[in-house]
This record gives sequence, C-alpha cells and structure tokens, in this order.
Amino acid sequence: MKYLIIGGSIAATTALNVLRANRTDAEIQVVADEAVPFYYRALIPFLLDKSRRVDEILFTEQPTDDERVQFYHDRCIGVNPKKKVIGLASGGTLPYDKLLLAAGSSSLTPDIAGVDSKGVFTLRNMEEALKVREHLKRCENAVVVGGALAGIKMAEALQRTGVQVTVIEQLPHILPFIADTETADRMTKQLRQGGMEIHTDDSAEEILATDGKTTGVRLASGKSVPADLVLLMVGVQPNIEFLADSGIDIDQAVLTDREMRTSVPDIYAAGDMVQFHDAVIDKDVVSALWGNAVHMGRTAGFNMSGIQAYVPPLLSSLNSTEIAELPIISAGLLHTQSGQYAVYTEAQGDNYRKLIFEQDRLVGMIFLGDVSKAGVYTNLIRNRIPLGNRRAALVREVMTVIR
Amino acid sequence: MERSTDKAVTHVLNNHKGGKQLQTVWDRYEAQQPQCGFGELGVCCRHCMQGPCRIDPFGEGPDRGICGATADTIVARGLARAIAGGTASHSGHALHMAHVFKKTLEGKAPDYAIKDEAKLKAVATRIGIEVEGRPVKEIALELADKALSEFGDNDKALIWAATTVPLGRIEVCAELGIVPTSIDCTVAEVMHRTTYGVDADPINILLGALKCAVADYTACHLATDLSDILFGTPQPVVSKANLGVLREEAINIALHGHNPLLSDIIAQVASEPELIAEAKKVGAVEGLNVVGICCTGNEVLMRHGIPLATSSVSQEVAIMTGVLDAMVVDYQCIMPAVATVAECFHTKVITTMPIAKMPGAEHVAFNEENAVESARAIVRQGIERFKFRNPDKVCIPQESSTAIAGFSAEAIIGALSKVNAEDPLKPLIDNIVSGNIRGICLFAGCNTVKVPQDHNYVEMVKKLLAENVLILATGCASSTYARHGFMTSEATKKYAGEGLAAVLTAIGEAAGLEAPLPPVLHMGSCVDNPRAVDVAAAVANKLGVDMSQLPVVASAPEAVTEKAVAIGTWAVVGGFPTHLGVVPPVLGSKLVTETLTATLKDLLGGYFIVEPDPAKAADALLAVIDERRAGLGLS
Amino acid sequence: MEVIYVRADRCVGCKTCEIECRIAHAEEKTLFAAVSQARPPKRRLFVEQGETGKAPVICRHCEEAPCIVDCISGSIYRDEQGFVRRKKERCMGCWSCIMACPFGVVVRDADAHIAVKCDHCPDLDTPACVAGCPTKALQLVDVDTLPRERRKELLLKKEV
Repeated sequence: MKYLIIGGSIAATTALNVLRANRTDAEIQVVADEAVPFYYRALIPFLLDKSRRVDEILFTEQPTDDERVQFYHDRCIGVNPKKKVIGLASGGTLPYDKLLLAAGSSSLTPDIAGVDSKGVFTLRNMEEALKVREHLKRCENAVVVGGALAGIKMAEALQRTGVQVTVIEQLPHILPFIADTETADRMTKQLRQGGMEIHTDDSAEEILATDGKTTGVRLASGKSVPADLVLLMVGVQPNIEFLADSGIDIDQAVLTDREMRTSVPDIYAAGDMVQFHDAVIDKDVVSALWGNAVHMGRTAGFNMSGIQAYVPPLLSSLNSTEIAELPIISAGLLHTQSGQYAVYTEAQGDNYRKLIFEQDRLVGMIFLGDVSKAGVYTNLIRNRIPLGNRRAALVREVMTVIR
Repeated sequence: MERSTDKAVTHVLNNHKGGKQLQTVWDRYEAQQPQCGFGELGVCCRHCMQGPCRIDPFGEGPDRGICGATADTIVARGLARAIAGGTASHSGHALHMAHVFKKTLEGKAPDYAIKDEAKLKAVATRIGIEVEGRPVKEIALELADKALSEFGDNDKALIWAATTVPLGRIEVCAELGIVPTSIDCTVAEVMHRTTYGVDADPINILLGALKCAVADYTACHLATDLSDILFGTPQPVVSKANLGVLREEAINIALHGHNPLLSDIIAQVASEPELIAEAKKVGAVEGLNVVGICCTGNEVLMRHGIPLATSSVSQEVAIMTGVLDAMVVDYQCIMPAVATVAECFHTKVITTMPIAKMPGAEHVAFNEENAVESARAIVRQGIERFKFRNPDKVCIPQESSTAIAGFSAEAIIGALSKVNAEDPLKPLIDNIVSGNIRGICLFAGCNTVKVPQDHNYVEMVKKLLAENVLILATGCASSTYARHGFMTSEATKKYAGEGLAAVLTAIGEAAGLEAPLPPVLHMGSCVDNPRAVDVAAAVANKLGVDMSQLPVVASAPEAVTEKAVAIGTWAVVGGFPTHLGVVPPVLGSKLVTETLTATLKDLLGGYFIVEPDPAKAADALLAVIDERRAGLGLS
Repeated sequence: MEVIYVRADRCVGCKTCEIECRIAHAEEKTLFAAVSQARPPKRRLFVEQGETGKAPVICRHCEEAPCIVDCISGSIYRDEQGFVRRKKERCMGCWSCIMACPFGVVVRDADAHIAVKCDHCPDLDTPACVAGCPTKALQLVDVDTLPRERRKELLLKKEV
C-alpha cells in the first residue's frame, strides 16, 4: 500500500506515526515544503531569544528515520484523483493509493505600503525565525503588527533579547481569541509594566523605510513608531490553492466527514486546512489549534490504516499559554454577555475566573493565574456535558479555589 | 450542604460585607475534606514517639501498633483521654469558681458576695456541713474548703457526686470500681493509665474513663452550686435570642465563653449610668447593649435576662453583622478564627484569661480582686471601637425570638409547688404516671459544623414534643431552642402533644403566668447539666427507684467538644440512655463500640445510642422511654 | 503492564499517598527533608471528597492521553513501560496539559515553571503512593487481570 502525505507539521507527522505503527506493509512518502528534521513550531519564540538551540526544538524521534518512509522536500502543486497522482513544484509526479492532505496554513501578509522593505518579516517557521534572529543583531526597535497570541508570544521573545517592542492591534483589545476584555486588560497592564508598548484600536498604515531599510511604522492614528524590525503577525490562511482543480469539496477550507475523508475516495485531510463544525458556537470554522491537528491526524491515520476511528468533538477556541508570567487557559465562548447565557466571574489578586453557561451546559471559560484543574472544565465544554442541578455546585467549586 | 437552619445566621452568611476572602467555620470544614478516616475511626495513636501508629480498619494492614496495642486498646485510650480533656476543662472552670469563692470570703475579692444564702445553706446541708445557728461566713468558709478539697488527693468518694445521686447509683458505681476520690487526680490517672505501656485492657481503660466522667459530673455540679451562691440561683426570666438582638444604635458587646465570674460582673457594670453615658457620648444613642454567645451567654441570660446573640458554631457570624464592637471571651469553645474574622471588621476581640490568649486579639487581664474596675475597662474598650464602625458593613438580621429561660431545679420545683405546696414533686410524678408526660429528654451539647446548624435539635424536638416528652435543655441546645422559638408559651400550644400541653398549661396557670410553661425548659449552660440530674434524682428518690429506671433520656445531637464526651459519659453512668447525633471516633473498635452501645446497658442502665438521622434518633429515644415505662409498670 | 488501581471503598482519606508522593519527588527522600525543602515537592495525586466518598484522584496514564495530544513542546510522552511522563527539559510551561487533562491531575509547579504529573515512580519497584497506602486502597494490578478484579468486586456488591 502506497501512502502519500502532503505536509510536515503535526497533523502530518501524527498520521505518519499512526500509519507506521499500524501498517507494517506501508510505503509512506511525505512531501513538505519545509526541510526535515521535524520540529515543534510552538518553540520558535525560544529560538528567537536563543534560550533554546535548534536541536532542542526538534522532535526527539524523527519518523523519517524509518526506512519505510521517504521524504521529499518539495511542494505539491496539484492533485489528480483520476490518475491517483500529485504534481510537484520540482516538475515530477508521485502516485498514491491513499493520500493525506495536511499542508497546514501560512501567514497572511497585510496589504500595507512598504512591506517589501528590508527588515519586514512574517514569522511562522524555523527558516523565518533564523532569518529574523540574524537581522535582530542590528536592531533596537521592533514593531509587531498583530496582537493575537502568536504576535504577543513573538513580542515577548523579542523583548527578552533586549529590543524595545511595540505591538499594534487593530481591535480594541489584544488577544481577542483567548481572552475577554477583563483578561486582556490585565495582560496589557502587565506587559506594559514590563516595558512593552501596546497600541490597540490602531493599525499599521505604512512601513517607513530609508534606502529600502525599515525605519518605522506609521499608524492609522497618525503616530509613528521607530522600527528596524517589523513582524507581520496578522493571522494565517489554509493552504488550499493547490486543490483548485482537484474536484475535492472545499468551502472556507477542505470539507471532510468525521473519519477525515474528503469528498474524493482515498483522499483524507487533517489539520489547519480542514473546516470543521464547532458544536459549542454552532458554526463551521477553520482553526490553527495544535490539539485539533493532532486529533485529525490521528483519526486520518487510523482510517487510512483500515482501522475505523472518529474525530472527537473539536473546539475552535481552546488555548493555554502564559503571558507576562500570567498563565491563562480559555475555551469556548469568551466574550458573551447576552441574556441567553449565565455568566459568572470571580477575581482575587492576580487570579480571575469566568464561567459561561447555556442552561445547564458549560459553554465558555477563562482561568487566569490559578489554572488548576482547568482540563476538568474544558472537557465539560468540549463534550457538552449536561450538568443538571450540579451547575451551582460547579460554580462554587471553581470559584472557591481562588477566593 | 446547607450551613445553618437558623435564618439569622443564614442571612448574615449570605449578605455580610466582610469580603469574599472571609472564611467561616463552614469554609474551613469544606477545606478539611476529606478528613482522615483513621482519625474518624479512632485508630491512630500518637501516645509515644515510636509512633504514630494506626490500625487498618479493613484488616489487610497492621492489626496492632508498634507497642502491640490493638484497635480496641487504641480506641479506648483515645476515648478515655477525650473524657479526661473534658473533665480537665470543667475542673478548671470549677476550681476557678472555688478560688474566687474563697477569696470573696477572705475579703480579697470585694466585688463578689454571697448572693444566695438559701442556696449556700442548702448545699452545705446536703454535703454534711452543720448549718443551724452558725454565721453564714463560717458555713461558707467550710464549704469553700470542702469544695477545694474535691480537687486534691482524698481517700473518700467525691462529696458533690455522692450527695447528689440516688443510693442505687452509688452502689452500681462502687461495684464497678468507678467512684472517684478526687477530680484532678482522676484526670491525672487517666493520663497515666493511657500513656505508653500502662493500661492495655480496653474494658479496664473504659472503666477508668467512666470514673473520670463521674469526676467531670462532680466538677460541673460544684461549679453550678458555687455560681448560684455567688450570683443567685436562676429563676424564670423573659428575654430574646438570636442575632436580631444586636442594635445599630448601641455599643454591642458580646460575652463569649463559659464562666460567669467574668460575664456576670460585666453584665452588672453594663447598667451603670456612667458607662451608658460614655457610650452615648461617642454617638451610640441607645447606650450599651451586652449580648451573650455560647454558655456564658446562658449564664447571664438566666440571671440578668441579657439577650443571647447566637451559639458556638456561629460565633463568627456575630462579628460578621458589622455592629459588634467587642467580643469579650474567657475560655472554652472560642474559635481562634474569631480574631481573623474580626480583622475584616472593626470588632475588637478581647481575651481575659491567662490560659486563653489568641493571636490577633487584645489581651486585657481580668482581675477578680478588682473585678468591677476590670470589667469597666473591658467595656470601655468596646465603647472606643464604636467610632471605627463602618456603616457600609452593617448587616443585622431581623430575627430574634422571645425566650423564657432560668429553669434551675429550684425554679422548676418552685413552679410545681404552686400546684402542690405540700408535695411539689407529686404533680410531676402523677403526670408521668398518667402518661400526660410520657418521658423527659435532656438536650445538651454543642452545634456542629457537620450538620446544618440546629437541624438535628429542631427535627428531634418537634417529634418528641408531639409525643408528650417534656424537654430540658442546657448549653448550646438551650441556645438553639431559644433562637428557634421553642421557649415560649406559644410553642407549647404549637408543638406539645395534648397531655403535655395540659400539664404545662396547668403549671403555668398555677404559677400565675396566665399562660403555659414553655415546652422546652432552659436549665442553663453546659456546665449546668447536673441541674437536670437533680430533678431526676429527686423524682427517683421520691419513687424509691434508681435513675436508671426512669423514663428519662439524654441527647447530644450536634456534639463537638471533649466536654460533651465527658458529660455524655456521665449521663450514661447516671443511668440515662444517651443519644449522640455525631459519630464519635470509636467505630474502629468493635469491642469499644459494643461496650458503649450495649454492654453498658446491663452494667449501668445507661448506654449510648449513636444515630445521625434525627427522625430515627427520636424514634429510638421514644422506644427507650416506652421500655422504661413498661419496666415501671406504666402504660 | 501493571497499573495503579483505586479501590475507592477502601480509602479512608488519610492522604498518606499524597505525603508519600511528595517524599518520592523530594530532593532527599525523607518526610522531614521534604517538609523542610525550600520549595516543597509537589504531589501528583489528590485525595478528594466525592459525592459518594473519599478517593485518591490519580493519573490514569490514558491510552489516548489528552495531555500528550495537547502538549505543544514534545514534553509529555509515553515511556517504554507505557506510562505517560513529562520530560522536564522539554517543558516550557504553557500549561496545555493542564488544559487537556479531564481528571485535573496535571499541576503547575510555578517555582520551577514546569508542569508536574504522576510518573509512576520509575525508580521504585512499587509507586510510593501504592507502597504507602495503609488500607490498600491503591493497588498495583496487572492490566490483564483488571477486568476480572472489577468483575469480582461487582459480584461482591451484588451479594450484599
């Protein structure tokens, strides 16, 4: 059986490991536009501030060490389901019996004047990180455009290297996908105390440059911020262009069933390039969450191996991180105040907790500071567990911890 | 779990302004969950430094400690030490009383005096002091010396025990070898025999524990007698109970603890015009409002009609009303947490006794030799705090109930004598015989965090009253019934069965009350439990039977303290089946459990009934009452 | 594979397992050293009061472990014996494992800035909690015999 996997990130490698474990007869080919060895994307900030070396962010076990696995550093430019082959940017084709699409997503580049200047980067992979790190040697001021999680994590890493960092966020609050306004305000305050500048409700209008070299960013508000480095961290989009003529059903991203099968036989998809239904917010969504990619990759891997498996309920909002030394875990709905929901909050010192219920179901939560036992509650959200008359007891149990 | 069935307490718990970080006994109880099962079962031992040891209650792990002590030995030792702890507390209370009594007679404590000469003579006569033709002071001095000698090394049975129970009891105790000859030596003996490598026979240890409980009874009786002599024997008095007695426009001072030596003097000075004027001067237009908490609250309620704010488990809640200017404490049942809760308010917690200080409280030593001045100084501390009161933190609940208190044995006999002056006990006995009074139950003990406050008390008493059981109450039991409105004439109409209501109405009318007596008689603080024994002993003597034959039972449905264990145990020795609503730490030993709940019945007549469910407990007590009635040939 | 099996009806709530767990993860493996350690060792299991009784809550070393799924730094892994463990040097303190664990048994060591979880005491013959449990509420049971054990318990209950 010839398996072909497009992509080199966690959805792809998870599926790859499942195939290796379950199909001794497998011949597996992997096509990815990043070179091996595989590494943990979340550790890139530590590469930037040099707190970890490259070898310290690599997978400890490389699936490509398996002689059944053949790796191609290449880019897929098209899929032909009739012939069961894919086309490669390098010119050739590769045949498959079963194909997994796990090409992930890539950085969006905003339409701003001057983005081509020297010192402007998007930052999502190791190659980019090493380039930024090289450029950083000559920097004093950095601007991060985009105050979502990835932007803030990079901003903190940059700050640790000693440069003055300014974050530009066009929404009224940073971290819109993991925090409510209360939490965002606390984070903002904490980050500012640490010396970071944060402009919310503002956006980058133009990247200023002299002799092609970045010197600053002009904002919509009229302010100018000096910068010899600009990171564009405004979001990602699924890598689906290469599927345009494939006949695979696509909406915002690739559509699959719960076994991760696409509309075309023998073609599966997993990870950031898949659209799924978030039962808590009742919407079709695309997310770039690590855990979702693992679940989808696993499920795809099993089904491709001939072992039936279903992807568990997925959330588009389920995050855990630590910013400005404040741990935060959030899931489900975060912002709602509407009468349809019952919202409970509790604040004590650095700790803040919020629970949102829809009737007897927990549908949203934020734990800031003390994040203990958060998983108990994220799982209530994910699995939509009806609480019956236990709702009041649950609120008490959650809030008493920080009182 | 619901925290309290007291509406006032619940209101303050839900609405107080002390902030979310304020923790009460209920929060701390929750934080302690789960509690260690070895401790709950009584099978851990820390009596030596080879330990700690514990026995596996499931029989898979060790079945004996390092020294070889089995679960039976360990449980018996633990129970004996708990009784010794309770006895030591009552001994301390009684000895304190005896010392001040002696000082009073020697002129060293001028602010105290013999207030009840009749009681002095009655007690003196009872314990064999010649009264006729002798000056009061001479009688009193001899009584003081006899009292003090009860604590020392003697070779004769303790007088306060031997002269207050029917002969039958004395014979039973003598036969079992549980007649103590000293209060304090018996406590020491229990500590000795339960230390490393002394007594390992669980039954022998339990007998030692029973003896110690008799010493506890002696101390309690002695304390009550001396209190009555110094401060007057309680007579019926009408007052109010519950947190609604706190007043926004007054200086509120709570007296909390046990001994009337402090609280009675404060109750006296609180009516002095100078102090009231000082209170008004700082802006408290209604002057001074002294209230009681726990047992010292019962003492001043009975003798001065001072309203009762709340009972022991809810002591912190009094502070959480935001209007308590001072909490003055002596000893026993004072949670160290009150000082912490007080930090959220303006309340000053004032400790007064050299053996009972606490971090966060102010210590103002109470000097019995200059009692009134000491008391005034303490009251002034409360007055000073008024200006720090934060009006935004005030949360006074509405609830308070009328309560008739002060039913000492003398007061009960007094009321009965209005029905039959020649033979006061006759109406009581006649009505027991006729079944109008099916039996008598003494409720005693504490309030525990382990059940919703008062729940067990209230559920049991409703059932027992409807079944014509006359209720006596002491300690926090009496506080509970006062707060829940069971100490009124209306309660008799509402709760008492037909027969009981008729008796209480007849006595009430004969006594000139123009209304029934309350169905629950407030007999005093927890140290006053012997008052109930005095009534039972009188009835038994009159009938020519032993107390163990009477349809009289006892219940501590929400017990907490070692003192309660000691009292419950002497109630059993007294021949009364005694119910416990909280499981004591003895279930780790089948032998000890069976001895306490069954074997003792054959030996003493009294035994323990352990039943957490109040409805079942009431049924069990009714069954015992009926069994006893049948034994006496009553239907 | 032997796993820790909880017999909740045996738990008396003494928390000896918590103490033994802390000692096993202390710098010096004694109670007195553990309590005097500047940063006291963290416990990896939790005796809790449930609706029906007391019981230690402990890592199940899940077959499809959510903490492994959500670990974004490669710190949580399954060892050769099949136990789910955490590589200290790989942990970056993102707390994704805490977010994922439905049993709430991964905790944060704020001082060391790493997540802490049950490692099944790899250096001991018997995990410290099991060895210390005075009522055998925690037992090592061979996975293959577990269903039988469960069946036996259920049968016993039915007889009562």
